[in-house]
Amino acid sequence: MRYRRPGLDGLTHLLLIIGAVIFGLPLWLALTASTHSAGDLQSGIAPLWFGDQGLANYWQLLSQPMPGLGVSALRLLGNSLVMALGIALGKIAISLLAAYAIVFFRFPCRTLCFWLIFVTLMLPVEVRIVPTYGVVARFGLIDTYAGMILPLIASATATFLLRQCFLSLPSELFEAARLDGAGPLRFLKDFVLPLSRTNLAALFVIMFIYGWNQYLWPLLAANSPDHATAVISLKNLVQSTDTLPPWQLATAMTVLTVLPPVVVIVAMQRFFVRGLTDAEK
Amino acid sequence: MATLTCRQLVKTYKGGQRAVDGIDLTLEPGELMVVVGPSGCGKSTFLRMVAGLESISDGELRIGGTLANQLEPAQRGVAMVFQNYALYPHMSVFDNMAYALKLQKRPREEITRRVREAAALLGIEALLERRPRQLSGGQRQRVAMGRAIVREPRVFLFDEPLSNLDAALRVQMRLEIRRLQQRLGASMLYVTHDQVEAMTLADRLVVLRDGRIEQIGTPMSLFETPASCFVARFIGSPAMNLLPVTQADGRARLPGGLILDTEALETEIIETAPETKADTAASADAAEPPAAATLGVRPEHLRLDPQGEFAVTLEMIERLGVDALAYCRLPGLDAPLTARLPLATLEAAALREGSEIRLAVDGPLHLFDAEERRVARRARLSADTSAATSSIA
Repeated sequence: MRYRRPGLDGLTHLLLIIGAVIFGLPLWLALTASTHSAGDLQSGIAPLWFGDQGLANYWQLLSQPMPGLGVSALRLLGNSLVMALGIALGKIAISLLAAYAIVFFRFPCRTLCFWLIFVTLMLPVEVRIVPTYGVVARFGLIDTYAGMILPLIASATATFLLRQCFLSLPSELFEAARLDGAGPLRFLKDFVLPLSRTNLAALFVIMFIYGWNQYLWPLLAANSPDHATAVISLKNLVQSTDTLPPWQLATAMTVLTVLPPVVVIVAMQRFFVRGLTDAEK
Repeated sequence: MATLTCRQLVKTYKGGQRAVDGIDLTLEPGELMVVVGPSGCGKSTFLRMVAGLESISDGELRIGGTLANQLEPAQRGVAMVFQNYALYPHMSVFDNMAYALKLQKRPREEITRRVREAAALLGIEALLERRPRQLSGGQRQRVAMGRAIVREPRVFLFDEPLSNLDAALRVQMRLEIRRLQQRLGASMLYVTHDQVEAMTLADRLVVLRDGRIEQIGTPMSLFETPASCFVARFIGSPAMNLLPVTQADGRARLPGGLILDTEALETEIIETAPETKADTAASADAAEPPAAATLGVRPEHLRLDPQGEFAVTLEMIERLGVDALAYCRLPGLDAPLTARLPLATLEAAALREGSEIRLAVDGPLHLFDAEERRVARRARLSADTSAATSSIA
């Protein structure tokens, strides 16, 4: 649908600008606040323009241990990165194989398997958090990266998305490859992966952000500050008991925490849009 | 040694439905055999069973003398050209053609040589670096054939390879397939629903109906002596005219007040599937062959003649260039009686829609019994009242 009407163009742009401002304002405030001194921010009035403490604040954040946690911001960001990457790649690996099996193999209870996977959409971590914690604790995985990643890597959404993508591949392709002598694993490697690469990239972006933004599960599974993530540290920063919270650090850390997902999206935007919208193979 | 032998090949689906119901055939080396039939007759299923893409429920499939029922598709030594080409979209034309050889771990020089040779044969050397989506329909078709040729298979399988092309290109590719087959001396099994393609390409033609072989033979033998009404309708364009024969007053009568006189032929040889051949032989031997229930006459074998047996009304004329198809109304016959007449004759007689004309038979008459099987009899047509006019068997 493409309407070309001058009046409508103006209106849609106005709406888009309003939306962008509403979304951008908190980020803008975090960015400006992170360049003011602690004293400036105690007044309770949010500054709308940059201060002169920017470099000092970020330097303090990156060079000194985080107040309240005792680990550096880099370590926290690193933890987040490991978890987000682990979740994104793990989800893709598992759902890729699951969707491949469901689409290309005929085995008993195939549809049942698919629906079982689909039903797990109704069981996100928040619902199964107590038993999941129990299982992870018994495996001795509390405070490990594995414990933070494994319970989150099964994904019905990704399986479903990949299934739709694989279904759109013509079955003759599979048959021609079989006649040429390609076995199932080779077909996966030589055909399915290259042909669904935009979808995989799109999935990676979504799942990376999902993993990066996890709060509840790492809060439980990572007890020690050594495994704390950037998102958790934000909460810690504003939750000081006897002193005033260091707002300048909290906002600076917020900015740092927002950056990696932004980088991922910008870098993979091209694939992302194509993978979600383009059905043409 | 035969390249491909099928013995009582059967495909049964879960519901007990039989898609392929006992096919017996032998493909000789260097032979192009076309399997033809209406949609749903099991021809594609049969081809896919040979390729190994469908399992074989019963019977025996031998390729090059070895039992192939359980072999993986890649081990059967067959290559298939698909209707929609099934080119690998993410690979260049070269890689498309080289893929099977790469999987066989052939040396790089051999792969390059074989791909180049096949490309030269098909005239697609200039396209080797392109992607399939950059090719036209005809070029894709060539690449698909190249992919098959490179593998040097024992049998080429074609699954309606030309039906996605436009009419002009189809004719061109048809000739090219034939030329290629003769140059390579390749054995080919070719499935199509297009009877013109079948007639022009085939060394031997197999007509399938409901998963069974209705008739096997050279295209001309099927055209001249169809074993059943089904084959008669299917082979030849426009289709054969079939007229019901009714018995009344001890005489065989046709629509339009015509009388049919028949006498048994001593011999008539029809190439058919083994079982039907036995049937025909039995009926020819019997003292009283079954009575004719249907009379067939090809549109090409009707001509304008003021003394003709068929008094008809001309309903519609289709001008094809040299010839014209005249669709005529014969009292008592629902379907139009079609005649293929020289356009010049039509014009000379100043005929138009609605004209009353008479048509005479100028060629063989085909007789079929109540089971729609061919009856070996000589036939004569005559008008009910007047004296017998003409006709031959």
